[in-house]
Amino acid sequence: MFAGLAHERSVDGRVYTSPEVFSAERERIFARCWSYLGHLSEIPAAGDFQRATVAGRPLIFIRHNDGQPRALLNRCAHRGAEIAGQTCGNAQRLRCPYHGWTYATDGALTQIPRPAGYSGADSPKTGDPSWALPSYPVESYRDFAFVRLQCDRSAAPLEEFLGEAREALDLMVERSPAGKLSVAGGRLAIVLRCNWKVYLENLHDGMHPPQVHASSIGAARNASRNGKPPLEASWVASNGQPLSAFGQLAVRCHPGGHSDMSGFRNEAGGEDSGYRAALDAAWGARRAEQALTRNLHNACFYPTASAHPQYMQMRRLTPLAADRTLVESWTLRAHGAPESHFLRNIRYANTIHSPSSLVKPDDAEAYRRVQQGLAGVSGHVSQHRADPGEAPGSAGTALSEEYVRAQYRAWRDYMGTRR
Amino acid sequence: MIVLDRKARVSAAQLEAAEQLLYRECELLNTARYDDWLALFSLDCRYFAPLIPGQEDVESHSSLFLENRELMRMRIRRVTHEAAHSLAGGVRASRTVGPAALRAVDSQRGDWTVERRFHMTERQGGRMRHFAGLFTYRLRFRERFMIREKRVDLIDCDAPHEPLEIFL
Ligand code: FES
Ligand SMILES: [Fe+2]
Repeated sequence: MFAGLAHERSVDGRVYTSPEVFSAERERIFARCWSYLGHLSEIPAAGDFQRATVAGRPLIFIRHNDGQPRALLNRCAHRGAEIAGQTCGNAQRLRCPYHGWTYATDGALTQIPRPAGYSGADSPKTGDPSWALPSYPVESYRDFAFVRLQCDRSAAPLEEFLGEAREALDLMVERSPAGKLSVAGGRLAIVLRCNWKVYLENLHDGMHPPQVHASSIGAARNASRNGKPPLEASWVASNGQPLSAFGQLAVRCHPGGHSDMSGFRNEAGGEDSGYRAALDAAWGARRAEQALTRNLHNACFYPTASAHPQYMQMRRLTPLAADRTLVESWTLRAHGAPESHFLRNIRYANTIHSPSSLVKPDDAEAYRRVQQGLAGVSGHVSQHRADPGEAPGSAGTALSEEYVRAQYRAWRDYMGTRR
Repeated sequence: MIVLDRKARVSAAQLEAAEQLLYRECELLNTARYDDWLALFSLDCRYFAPLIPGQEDVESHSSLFLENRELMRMRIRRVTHEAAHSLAGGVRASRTVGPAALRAVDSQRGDWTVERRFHMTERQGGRMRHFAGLFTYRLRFRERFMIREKRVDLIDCDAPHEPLEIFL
């Protein structure tokens, strides 16, 4: 049914606009992939929970009293009311606000008011697994937790799913001598008026920054009045480098639509020697050096997450509708790293990921224009651009659209339309 | 201006001057005269919109907006830049404010804390958006009043937002 929408180097614009494609994507992609739920530090204690939406399903990401995280459907088995109303909190039991059915933090139905009203084999019963809240498998890689809604036996475990894209997560964890990260400093959340794929297709787009970001680049260049620009301005201005500089950024495509890209700036250096020694002791000198200096920008864990290890940023993507996408971002604190790193990363998050970012509106406008431009008119979207001499799937640069083609190879695999 | 701080020793002329300043502050934003607006702020000023209700920590917690004068100027340069694609169709905004209330006067430094409710409607990109919350100003009086800080507490500060481009 979706055959013919995505080709090797172009796609039909309806992949971005059609509600039918969108609902098929929910079932075939988002319900089948490993979706990023959150970092385990967000639910440190038993009963701590966060809500999430995966493939359109409302979920509760909660720590059970066995210490393990669970992903439960946030939907009462009685008449379907949403049980957890708040975004986050702590609950030792989950009690439905409507008629008071109560569940344990692993989803088991533990209490029904006036049980005498129920009789017969198929009636609701406490302790009966068929009346529990559905619980989906959660796996975590170095405390980054992912969920998979469809328990497909052939499905790869998380580590295999992430493949080499894991490196971005490793780099973040290895900024901490203890290997311990925690989410800190709040969640920044932005709504984009575009299809989720439009957002992912921009992650390594080195052709757009000088053009799209002209306004913030211009503003940032004017910001240094007495010679020394504020850090914020230098982050914003780095989009203004010539295209040839973007041609130096190496992009790697991994199986499954994942990818990453080397970044411009290297903020490491002048590390305090105690920290460096602790990293060396924990990971060995080579890995410690990598953790500090290897700058992967916008690593993509297709299709629900992106990391920016240099600034310890993790982003979660939630498609809301064919033309609306939520992007949330968190800063991770590396335990044992200098506090100044964390404070700098908060400033980075404010500058780049806040809805008030000077950079973001022009990206968002470009995405919105794509969405508007494609609405109602069928036609093709080009993804032909390549680096001279590159082969499919090979490492290229930020001037090639190979990573977009790689995303569509994964898309076709999920959607079952690969020829 | 309503005086909530009963111990505050303020003159009618000062109250009038502060009221005038805050009127200008909103009206200059409403009419997009950003450079004149920035001139109302002291050199060590801050523009701050918390990300969560009651936020005081701005160093180790992210903010919706956190700008010193340099960054405020940068925002002005961006929104008035010819290549600000998102603002190509123009942006119009109207801030309607409630009565200003003098919450406190710092007895040491003489800084005033003034707050007032606001509602803002913004038209941009073919749509209308609404914002509501509390403006809190810290004013410093030297020869005249200057704004040391404008704090904007949106009632939905912790909700997802579409890009926020102009000052609230
Ligand atoms: S809907 Fe939950 S108890 Fe009735
Ligand atoms: Fe961009």
